[in-house]
Amino acid sequence: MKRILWLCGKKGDFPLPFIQEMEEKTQVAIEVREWEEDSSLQGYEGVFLLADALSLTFEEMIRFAFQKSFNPLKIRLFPWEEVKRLYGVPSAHKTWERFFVEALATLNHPLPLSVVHHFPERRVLLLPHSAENLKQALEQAGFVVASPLESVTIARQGINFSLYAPSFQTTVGAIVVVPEWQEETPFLIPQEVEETRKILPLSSFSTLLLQREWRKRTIVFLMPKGNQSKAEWRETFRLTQELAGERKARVWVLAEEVFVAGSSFEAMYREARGEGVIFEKVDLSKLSLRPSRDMRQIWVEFQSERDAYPLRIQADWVAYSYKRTCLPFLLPSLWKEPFFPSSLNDLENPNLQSFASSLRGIFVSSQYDEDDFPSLLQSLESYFREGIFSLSSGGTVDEEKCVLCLTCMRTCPWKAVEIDGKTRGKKAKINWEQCHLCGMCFAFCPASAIVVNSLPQRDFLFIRDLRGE
Amino acid sequence: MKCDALIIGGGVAGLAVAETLLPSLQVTVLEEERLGGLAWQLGCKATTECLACGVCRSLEMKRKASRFPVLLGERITTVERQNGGFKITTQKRAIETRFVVIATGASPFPPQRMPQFGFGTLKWVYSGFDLEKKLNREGLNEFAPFHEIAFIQCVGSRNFQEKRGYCSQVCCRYALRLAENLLFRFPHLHIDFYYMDLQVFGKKSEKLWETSEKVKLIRNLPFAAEEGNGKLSVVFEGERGVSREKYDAIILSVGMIPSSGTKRMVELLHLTSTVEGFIKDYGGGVTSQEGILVCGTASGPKDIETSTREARMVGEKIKRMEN
Repeated sequence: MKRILWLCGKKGDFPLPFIQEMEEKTQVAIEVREWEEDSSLQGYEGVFLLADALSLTFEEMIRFAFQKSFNPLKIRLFPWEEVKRLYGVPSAHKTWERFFVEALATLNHPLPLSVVHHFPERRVLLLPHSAENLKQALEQAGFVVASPLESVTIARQGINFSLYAPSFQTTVGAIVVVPEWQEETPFLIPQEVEETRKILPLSSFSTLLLQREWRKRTIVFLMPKGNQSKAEWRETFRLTQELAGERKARVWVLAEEVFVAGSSFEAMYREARGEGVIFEKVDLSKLSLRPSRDMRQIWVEFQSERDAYPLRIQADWVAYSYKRTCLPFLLPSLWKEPFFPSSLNDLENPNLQSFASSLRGIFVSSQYDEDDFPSLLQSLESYFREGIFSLSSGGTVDEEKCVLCLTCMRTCPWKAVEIDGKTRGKKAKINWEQCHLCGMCFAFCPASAIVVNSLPQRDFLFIRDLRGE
Repeated sequence: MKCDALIIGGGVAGLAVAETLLPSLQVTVLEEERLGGLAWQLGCKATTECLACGVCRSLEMKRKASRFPVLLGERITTVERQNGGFKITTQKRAIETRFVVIATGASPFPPQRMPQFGFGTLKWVYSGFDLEKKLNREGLNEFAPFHEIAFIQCVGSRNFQEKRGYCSQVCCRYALRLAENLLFRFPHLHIDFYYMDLQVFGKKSEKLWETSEKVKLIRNLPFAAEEGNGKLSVVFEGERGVSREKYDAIILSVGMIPSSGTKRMVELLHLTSTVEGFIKDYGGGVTSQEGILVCGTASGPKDIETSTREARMVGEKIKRMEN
């Protein structure tokens, strides 16, 4: 009797009656176990993984199998997400059963597949090229940084990227995208206020500190919300505390939100308040600034949260901080081919994803946050060291059937489908190094031209069934 | 047993240190309960898009943990210094090591310690950590019949009298992410947010600022929760004295306190701690004892992202010290 191991996230997740029913029907012994790192896979004919419950990707599954010295081709991912939603629907139950029986049958037949281990080229491209401090950090860590002097276009070549420029051509294994920030003041500074020369950004204000007499002067700090660095707030707390304490100035901090989420920030905030700094929460878009008559002071008028009427302060100095917004980095504009992987659209706001983008070999880092560098270097290092597993010849495109509708190219989240051939006989071709075996192309091909040998794609039979094909 | 670095605590930070050190040094991870730590119990809060809560990072770390030796269910009993390193004994064995990395982490503040909010006594009062665990296990369908929900921020943190005068850094963001998730699932929900300051920074902060406009922000700190006529009400001091607002459910955004393991390590290794009970970090993970480093939430509240990053920096530091 065959022995099958069924690994799932939590036993309660899974309808055990179904498994018992299958045991009787197919005459195999199914052992259901919860996922554990050290679960042994030896002695089983095949392993079914509830993919969603374990949130394993296919590549991780292969890696896992290699660690356990188990043939990765004997592992099947069970299409959990579809099943969970349709549990109790009789027709779904049927397709589910069909999947199980089919998968069981293929465990015995050798699939025309092989598992390949690729290593990307140990070169990195920085985009944009101006991030000098990051470049130094990368070079110190032993990476070769490609630094083209002209603008390049990028195309994928296997798991590497090819860079094309008018005068040269090279290959890199990874691309690091560095987001750029736009600095702007969240409120309007009128020309005549600017002319008083009593309003200045926080960074240049701190240089004034030693030169002036601050006793009984009024200083207003304007702090907008969003994307300020911790260093900026630390500086604000330090400055205000010193000004109000030792130098006996009157200090107001008009902030949209006071930032206290840092180590010992809360204590600094408290100390500053103890010294007599007034923190006021205001909406900075409703702030109005105008110069006093002698042009030596600035009137700051604001509406505080507590009071119904606006308040006015006659300030000797006004220091402000910038509001920073992340500029979208248009990686698609550098892409050589007209079709761009849809998964890269995340990069329109690179601020959002730091550790890695959803595409292999593309990383995002912050230029301003140097704390981020070790993390980036680590991810790069492990990417280069560990390489990529992929299945080769997982399927074929039936050239007779292919109508060149490009549906596969559009749906492929990994940009693995290419168009190959001469002008007349162009057909879709799957690039197996890029392929994550997600099966999207297979599921959506209207001509059913994509044939798959490996099983994970069979999950998408469900989608076909649901669409009524 | 001998190793180069012993990592105490198998949470996100501990595993990240191990991962950094792995190819060149011998590491051992010591974990009392189970791998993955606090982050492993949290739920992914993605809606149609990822909200970058970083919980999946802990999953990734946990999966990678099969590559290095992990001692589960062992507890340190004694620590001695021995020829430039340490000799550490657990119940089962003695380990000789050169470096010790403490990644014992933090635990969520138990809301029972603030009985005025009725956690444990009133039925529909949850803690934020509860909600996270629910999201991880059975989902949030329980919230479908509700119409009005209140989030109370800063429960257990920013309180100087109780020696917890720190911002826990994560509560605003996880509460906003949960609110976003709840609004995505049940668009009919009306969410009120009682808060002091919104501490939104880091990844996906724009999205969270957007969420903060979808909920009703009330800058006030309620002092009690009551039950009457089958509904909960939040009691707070409004403009005209004490006011009450009715809700179907109340969620207490709890902060972080040092875990029992962290407190034990402070005593066992004679480390300097902060007033709050976290291990004092003198910059870059250096503690008051030579050869002992700290990372993650053992040295103060942090999010998953920062813990991982800090852990990697500590890893790099050990590598440099070794060479």
